[in-house]
Amino acid sequence: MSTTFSRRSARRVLAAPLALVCALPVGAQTLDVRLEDGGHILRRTSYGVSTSDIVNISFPLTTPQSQIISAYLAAQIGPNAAVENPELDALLNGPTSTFTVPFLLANDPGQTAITWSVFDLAETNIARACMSSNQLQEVMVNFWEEHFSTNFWSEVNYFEDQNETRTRAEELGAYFEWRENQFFRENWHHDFEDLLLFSAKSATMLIYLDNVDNTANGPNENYSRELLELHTLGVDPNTGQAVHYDLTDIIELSKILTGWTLVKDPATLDWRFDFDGSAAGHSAGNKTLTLGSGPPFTAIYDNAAPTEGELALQHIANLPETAEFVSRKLYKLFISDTEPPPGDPLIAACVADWTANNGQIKRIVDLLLRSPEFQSDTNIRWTMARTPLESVGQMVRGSGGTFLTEGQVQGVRDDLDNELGQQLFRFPSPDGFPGASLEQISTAGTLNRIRFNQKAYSQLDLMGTIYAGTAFYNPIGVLDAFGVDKTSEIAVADWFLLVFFQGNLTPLDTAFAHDFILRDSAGNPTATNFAALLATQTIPDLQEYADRLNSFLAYIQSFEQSQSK
Amino acid sequence: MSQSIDRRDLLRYGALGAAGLGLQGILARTAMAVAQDSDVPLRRKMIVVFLRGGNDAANMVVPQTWDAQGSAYLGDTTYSTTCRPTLWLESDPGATATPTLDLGNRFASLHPSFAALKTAVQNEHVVFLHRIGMQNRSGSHFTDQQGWETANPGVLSFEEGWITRMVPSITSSSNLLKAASISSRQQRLFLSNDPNRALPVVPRITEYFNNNKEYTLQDGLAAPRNQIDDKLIGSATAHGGLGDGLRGHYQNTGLASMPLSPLVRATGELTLDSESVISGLGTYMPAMGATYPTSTAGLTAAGLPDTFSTKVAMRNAQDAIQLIKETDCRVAGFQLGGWDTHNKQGTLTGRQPDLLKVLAHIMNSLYVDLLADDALFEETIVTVISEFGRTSAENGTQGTDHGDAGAVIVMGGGVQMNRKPGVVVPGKPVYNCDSTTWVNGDMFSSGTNPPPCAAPFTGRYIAYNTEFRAVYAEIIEQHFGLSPIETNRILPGWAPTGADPRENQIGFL
Repeated sequence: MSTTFSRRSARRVLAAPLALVCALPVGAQTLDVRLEDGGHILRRTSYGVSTSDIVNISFPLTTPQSQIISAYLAAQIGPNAAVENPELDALLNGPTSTFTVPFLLANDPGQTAITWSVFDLAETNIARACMSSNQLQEVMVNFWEEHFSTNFWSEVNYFEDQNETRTRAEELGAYFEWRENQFFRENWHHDFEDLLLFSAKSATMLIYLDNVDNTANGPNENYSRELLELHTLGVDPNTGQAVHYDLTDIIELSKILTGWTLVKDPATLDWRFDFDGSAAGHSAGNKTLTLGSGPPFTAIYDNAAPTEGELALQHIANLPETAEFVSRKLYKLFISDTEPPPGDPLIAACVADWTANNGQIKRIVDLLLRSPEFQSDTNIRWTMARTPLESVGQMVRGSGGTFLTEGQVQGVRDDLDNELGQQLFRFPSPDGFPGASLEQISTAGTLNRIRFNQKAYSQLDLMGTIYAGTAFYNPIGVLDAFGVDKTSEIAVADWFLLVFFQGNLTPLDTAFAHDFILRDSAGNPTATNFAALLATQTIPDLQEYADRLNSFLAYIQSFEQSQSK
Repeated sequence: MSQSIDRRDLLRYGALGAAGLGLQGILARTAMAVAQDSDVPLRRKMIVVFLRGGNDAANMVVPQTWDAQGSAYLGDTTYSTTCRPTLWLESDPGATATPTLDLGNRFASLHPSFAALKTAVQNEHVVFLHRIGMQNRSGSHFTDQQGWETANPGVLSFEEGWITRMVPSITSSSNLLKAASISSRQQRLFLSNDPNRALPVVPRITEYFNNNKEYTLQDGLAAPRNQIDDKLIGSATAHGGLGDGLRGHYQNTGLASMPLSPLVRATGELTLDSESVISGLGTYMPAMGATYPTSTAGLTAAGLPDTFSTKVAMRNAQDAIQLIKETDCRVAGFQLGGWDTHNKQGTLTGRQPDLLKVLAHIMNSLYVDLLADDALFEETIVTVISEFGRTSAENGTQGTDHGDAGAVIVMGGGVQMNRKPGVVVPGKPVYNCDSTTWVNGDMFSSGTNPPPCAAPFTGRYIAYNTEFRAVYAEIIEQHFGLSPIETNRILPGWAPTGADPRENQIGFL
């Protein structure tokens, strides 16, 4: 085997055409397939391409792209959503699962007092991101979590201020975050006004942006300002200035939303949404909003029910400026970081559809994913950077990973919290965890991803077991399942390069990867080859085999392309 | 900046002398400064602290103080319980055990939480710049933070931080750790979309240390390891210069069709470069009197709130000072969150007072730590900024909403007290908050939408007296010793004509 390559040979491999058509080894047969089109869809609408995806997206060259998208969308947002991964179901709901669903409050069925923490909630979301069959759903749940961002710790502080014990305050905070999370999961594709209204009345948002204390006697404009800026109308994407509303609107809206609060039920000791229509609670008189291109909207004073605010939020949710702001944000989730120009036809189509169909999110997502911009513009591919959770998802999904125990997910959650800097449900700013690519690219991100990859893969060896109990990465199992020749360094390398990069690697990077796997774990170029290591079946040799394979996976997962999608 | 000994310097050093530095030291230091005058930009350093959320500057540098002789309040009389029924701060020592701290200019006083910074104030090593604001302020945290960070307000598509643009002018190309944001994610101050100017983010430096190596591939089992494996890092020179491992991958061009490719790869190289510097450091030993407590016991002993965010802030501050003291890092930045006090802001205790206490403790520790190194002390400033001030009247929930002008704090050996020209009296540590720069009622000098307690005032906020970029320009030119041409490059669109006095530099450096 050659372990050196000269500048001349590098120039030669660089000159080779980029291979978008790949030879895919599946068992004994080799298929010529088109991976890149399917890979693009999965990279943008999931938490990473899994080893089983690689077969599912291996379409014959003759398959039209639109057909690939249709099949995918039918499974993800059609009437027959994908059947949930049974291993995920067992992890979350099985008889030995420790992820018990919390029923803390009397207004939920089956009330039992159990310990449920925000960490459990974060872990179930990580497990779903890595394992769920409904990947688009999980991507959208996370989108809404960040769009309507709240911070668990504010809720804890609030309930402590309300004389709850610290333990109870944390349970309540986690419970309300869970309620919101479940709502987004069940309704991510519904009308935007439903999502906005749920968020406005949820304890998480009431507390986080202070509307819980916003009263006629004590007005607080925090929520109304962020509602207009972050949740609905947005600011001018070029100047950052509010152009669809002004300070008067902020103050008027805050008055409309006075009296929306939480109350502790004296009988059950539970907390729930409440409307305080008293003179001290809800501001008297009609209020007027002049927002966007809409006619002035008069909120008719109503002290009997939150109807006045509900009607105002419905008005805001269906303004074309809200449609445009949210559609642009979804465009930036799926298609490109680059802000579409004013008058962009795709955004205009989204706004028109929003107006005609009451802001049904499923239709907007469908429009964006079926658009020529998404399907055919190859210039947008690989242009977006992955968030830490997306990197972890790609790593687990591409290594044949399955979480079997809560402890395994805990290890990953701990790394996401403390190393990768993405603390789910605990982001400290109301604009949510940043999705923009530029925000993901940093030395801290790179270093921590390298370390995370090294650590995770290092803790797996051929003999077994490490990361908090049982290995959940299973590269050897993947090689066995797909009939890849484990005795060939190059076959092993090429299989994983295919899974992780769907053929999109420069020849030089492929050469770097080959060079890496061919050297021993100390970096020595005169290494015993895989065939010989496997032949002896001695523990040191098997260990060396595992080390070589694991550090190779850590290496390619630290590639530039691993940070991109 | 003049490097000769003038009256100001003697006054300044005189104060230092009182703190233990003899004349010999003063002369030696001044001689050194003169000798190296030409490479001032390559010696100067800065720690920048961003208070995220909009600090209520009126309750930090209070535009009111107590005249003991006259038994009267001085300053702006509209800073009062009428508009701040629960948030008004008492400056009369006869009326409270914890009055605000008089700043000596018969106008302004400091929040009592700043007691920890007393020595730096007395030694004339810290200045408070009030009424600093932004021409194109939007009132949004995100837009206005971006404005302060890019120094190009009103252009959201412009994402690069002003520190990022300054760094090439103050560093040599061989410097492997030119500047760093101490944070888990990049602060826009240090952000770049230009691969040639990308700067590192350093999340927690003890994690880089070699002595934390806990695991090797050969060990088989066990605990996490921090250092990256040598094979994984690879070599930049293997294969006739192509390299191997991550060095090889990062230093070569990626897919031409991927616009992020150059930036991601440059960031990869920068990651390995900064790691090579930081992993050689050891456990930091603060100077006597400086502490950065990260334990419950330590925070309690220091009278600080025992919260997760305080612990993170302490750790970040210590990492920043370690990089400044022990490496050639020129600018280190970290942030403190939680200043968006719409609700229960607190007067003497509570959210903002606690945060001010944390800030004062950190600043005092940085001060003591810098003071332990004479040369470094003269070469370094600490700059504290926030995106805006808050409403002059409190809202209905014992808090304040987004406002206009805020305050900037600058600390270091090079700051100049506010002195009246030609008058030989001790200077005052506060600018834009005295009887010549603040007319009674200026608490409500900006905004038209009246707050609940408005009458007879029609405004809502404090108007700015100095544009924030004038402060930056002064730092760039007077601290870092760069030319106005460089200022124009670093602060795009900044072209003061002299017509608007708010664009004039203040003279605090």
